[in-house]
Amino acid sequence: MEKSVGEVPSGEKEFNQLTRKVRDILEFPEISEEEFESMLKSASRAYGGPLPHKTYSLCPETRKVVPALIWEKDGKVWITKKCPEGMITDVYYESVEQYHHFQKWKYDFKLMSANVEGSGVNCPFDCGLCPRHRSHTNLLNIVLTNRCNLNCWYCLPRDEEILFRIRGETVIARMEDVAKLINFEHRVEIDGFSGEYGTPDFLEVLTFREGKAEWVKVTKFLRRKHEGEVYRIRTHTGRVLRTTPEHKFIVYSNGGFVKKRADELSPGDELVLLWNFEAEDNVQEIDLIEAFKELPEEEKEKIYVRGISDLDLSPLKAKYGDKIYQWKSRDSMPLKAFYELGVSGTFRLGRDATKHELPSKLKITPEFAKLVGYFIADGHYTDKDLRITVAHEDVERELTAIIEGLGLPHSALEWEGKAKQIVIGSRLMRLVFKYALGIPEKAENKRLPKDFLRFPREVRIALLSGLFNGDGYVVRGERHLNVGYASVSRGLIRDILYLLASLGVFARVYTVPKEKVSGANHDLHKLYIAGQDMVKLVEMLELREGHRERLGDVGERKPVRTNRVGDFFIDTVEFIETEEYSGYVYDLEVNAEEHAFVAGDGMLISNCFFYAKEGQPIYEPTLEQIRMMLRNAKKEYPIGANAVQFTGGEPTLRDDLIEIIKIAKEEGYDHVQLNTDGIKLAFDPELVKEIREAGTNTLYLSYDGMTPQTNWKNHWEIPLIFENVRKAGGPGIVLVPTTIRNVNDHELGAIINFGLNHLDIVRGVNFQPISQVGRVPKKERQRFRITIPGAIKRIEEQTNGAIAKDDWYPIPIAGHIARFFEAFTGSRYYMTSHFACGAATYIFLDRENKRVVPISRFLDVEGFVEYLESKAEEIEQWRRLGKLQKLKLGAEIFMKFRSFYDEKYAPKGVGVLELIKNAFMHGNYDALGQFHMNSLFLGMMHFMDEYNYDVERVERCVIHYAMPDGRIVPFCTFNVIPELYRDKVQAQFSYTWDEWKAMHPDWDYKKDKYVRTKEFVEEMKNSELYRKTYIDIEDYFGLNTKA
Amino acid sequence: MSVNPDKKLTKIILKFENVDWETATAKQYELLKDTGVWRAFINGYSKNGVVVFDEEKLSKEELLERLKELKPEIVREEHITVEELLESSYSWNNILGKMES
Repeated sequence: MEKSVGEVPSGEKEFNQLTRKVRDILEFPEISEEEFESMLKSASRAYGGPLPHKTYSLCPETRKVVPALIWEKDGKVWITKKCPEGMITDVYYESVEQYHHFQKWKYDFKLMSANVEGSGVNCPFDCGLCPRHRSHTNLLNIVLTNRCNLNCWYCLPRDEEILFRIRGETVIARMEDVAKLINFEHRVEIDGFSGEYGTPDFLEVLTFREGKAEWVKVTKFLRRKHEGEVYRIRTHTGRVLRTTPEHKFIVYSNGGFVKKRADELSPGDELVLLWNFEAEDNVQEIDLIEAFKELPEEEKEKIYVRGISDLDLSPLKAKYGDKIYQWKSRDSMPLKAFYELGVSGTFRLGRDATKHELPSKLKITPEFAKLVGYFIADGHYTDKDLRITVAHEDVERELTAIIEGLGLPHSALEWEGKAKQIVIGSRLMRLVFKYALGIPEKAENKRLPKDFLRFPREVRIALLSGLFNGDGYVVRGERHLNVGYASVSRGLIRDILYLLASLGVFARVYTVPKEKVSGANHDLHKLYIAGQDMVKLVEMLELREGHRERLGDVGERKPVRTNRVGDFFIDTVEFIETEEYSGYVYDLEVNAEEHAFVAGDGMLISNCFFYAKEGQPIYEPTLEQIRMMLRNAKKEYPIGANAVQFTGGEPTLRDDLIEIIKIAKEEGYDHVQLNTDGIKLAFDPELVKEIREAGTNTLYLSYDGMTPQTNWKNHWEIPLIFENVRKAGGPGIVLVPTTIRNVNDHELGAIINFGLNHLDIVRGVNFQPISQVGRVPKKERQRFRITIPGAIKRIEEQTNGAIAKDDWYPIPIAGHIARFFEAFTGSRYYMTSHFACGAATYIFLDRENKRVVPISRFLDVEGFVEYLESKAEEIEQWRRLGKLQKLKLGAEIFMKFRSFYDEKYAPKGVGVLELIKNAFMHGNYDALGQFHMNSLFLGMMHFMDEYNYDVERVERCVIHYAMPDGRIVPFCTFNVIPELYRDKVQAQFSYTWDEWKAMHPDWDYKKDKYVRTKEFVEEMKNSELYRKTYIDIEDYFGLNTKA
Repeated sequence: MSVNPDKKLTKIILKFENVDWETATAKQYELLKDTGVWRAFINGYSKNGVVVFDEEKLSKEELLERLKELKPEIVREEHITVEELLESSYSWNNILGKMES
């Protein structure tokens, strides 16, 4: 299995490996607009109403807030909305039964303070918190930095090219030119990696799909700045592509495909390249009036449109006066003025000082294409005409015939000792070649005409004929025979490769460096076609007599010695070199399972997945800002926050972290936790001690699975983190698996078992079903989406029923309990999230019997809460009761409590009853801590994304972010609408890269990054510590938990 | 900090002639995307709103142009500093029932 070793871990390699096989696809039901509208009309409206239920949601692309329907089908709950971008359905909850069970425990709280004047009617755009919000801050998040110690994304330089289909038109385009069409309006962050991207709906690229080259939509176009090396990879057949060092190539290995970074490639590695593809034949003429809009203004003034006598020129009278009558009478007007009319049709075009005219819709005939081919091969521009050098009589004969056939004025120029030149004396045709066909000046810049891949097949063949007749050659040796073409323009060679690929002809490229050619200013690129491909080409082309003679009888030829895989072939890496680069680099995300697209000369490479932030502004709030953010949440009315989580990026990268923790304590926070990957803590035991001593209660530690693949972030470092926490006597650890269908959902039981084996330091496991923020194709959502009931079901299966569906509680049940806590103890802490946001339970380890017992098996929590509610009036009078009355009621409740408790099923040796009694009666933070020490908390919190967004959930959110601009916002607005919250505010309060570097002269971006070395992994693999952590552990559920 | 607490912001209180919930929500989103806009609330029901913005990044004319289709009328205009905006946002200054309407 692939893993991140010898590099800054990014998880991309592991992700690709894990997702190669799809175990489980979630089918989404179809719903028509009519059904949707009809159900919406009859849907319940109040929070917690029966299904179907009406709420509001967010549209992923247009960001409109629209009515949404939560409805039931096939035992699952779905959310559907009608967005301008179409009907969108996603799974809301994978079990309707569990939805109903949890719905029963809804609980509303009313927050009585706000941060903004917005009324909440425009939820979720009024956040901050608004007067409509219904929960106080249970857990406050503060982003300490956007710096991160893991990596990264990988890109193509600005001048690298890709075969695109832009609005249906096939074109080879530079990344920076396509970028001009993109609105880079989104920032994206996955595990702290951020980038800038747009979501075009008009771009396609070629991908590999079951051996076929197929067009696929580009879903994201990304860019970032890059300073440093780029790699130039050249294959045995002469194909070239430049990428940043991290960019992944598709490598053929043992009959399958794997991905390798550019800087990991070695000569001999087998890459996958495009052999042939289907081009469309849809450009048969050029609309010169449209194409000439690109002309310089002075040229537009010199061009006349003829055939205008039937046009109404009166709209131009005000501007041009009586000239319009002259134009009318001469049946001719300047192109510049013609554009102002805004009319279309078929006309004739002429130019000053030229009698020759062209139809405004110029047919692209094979003859014309052949002339273009000749010009590209051996032609050049002068100020007023086109000239083509002819070194052979047969070429001159053919060229003259074509020019005369096209009715173009021409002459010949001949100097002694120099090759003859055919002059096409049409200034207009010069403009057609230069601007309408886009053929650049100078030999080293030559390219094939715009749209050449959209010309009809016979036109493409004629274009090739012109090229090969003009500058092609035949090489005949004793044992070899090939047709070649040489050019100093590498771009032209790329075009010809794609042109040949569109005709199913394979070619090789060989480059002669300029240093090896006397007096040369440019490298010479030689393209040659041999074997059966040459036979195919020769049969296709109309080659000149000289070539035919040299070719003679081509006879039987062998096929090319290259492995073909459908429309692709396998080619080996021959040469790798690096060059310095500075500026934007780009990448694409494509809607293809293989995450691959064709770039450069036809190489299949991977699209990006993670994003780094080198060169991006750095956000790090000051200590004073952090203090004010803490205070803002603490002073919410009537209940302030008591728990804070410092997050990032990676919060441990801040040098003043200890001071920050102390500030949180000073501001009255009982609970301080760090959301961390733990990497720094693995290698700095002193830091663990310091953060513990400063008052950190919990490490909210990323832990995505049991193997180096599923947990690419810190699998190898976990044993060291655990050891350092044990030595420091804390903080307690909560393992946080981001749970993804088809990626790590098969390891949920094993993760709980792992937590139970380290119960001395692990306090809980909090599963976070994936939130697919950003624009995500339906196929990907079906593949990776998992909801709370889905995760619960897997846990039941993977713990052999030890932790079953009915052992879980919805979060707001704590709201019901909090009411009585408050009455007894005065402590106020209302967890009143939406019932669908989370689930939790406690499990106890009965070490005597080696069994795991969820709290629900021996304590009827729901029954007890129902009983408390029946006594609510009495209990709420508790504070005003006299001693005797308190004793009487207390005893009654405790006796009743015992009836909900079944000693027979309780775990042995834990003293659960006493624990619960203490926690409940004292209700303070210490009592809660005791409870945690002897049990494992299991939680789930499903943060939303655009596809399952429910405004009713946002209104009740209990996990908030404080921002330095005075606002506190729900988690799911902060992260799902980053353009209004996270990214925007961080941009307002960020330092530019240069400002940051000036403030921290010793800081180096690369030093932030963690490189996991091969030596470290080997050492860890063979260590006693690793064995104790992962291998020599108990199997409480009858699972094989070996790593 | 890259934001000067003494930086001046403009706060305008608005009335709208032509607005409903849908256009108010969409317009509020559009305005808030701009880093020059610190706060924006448009109430499509009561047909009023408030925008706090940085005139160095977004001129009042440009802002009003963006709101044109809602037919805005400026009821009041104030100048506040970033620090004053932050202070006025803190929870202890906005206890419901005691909030400025």
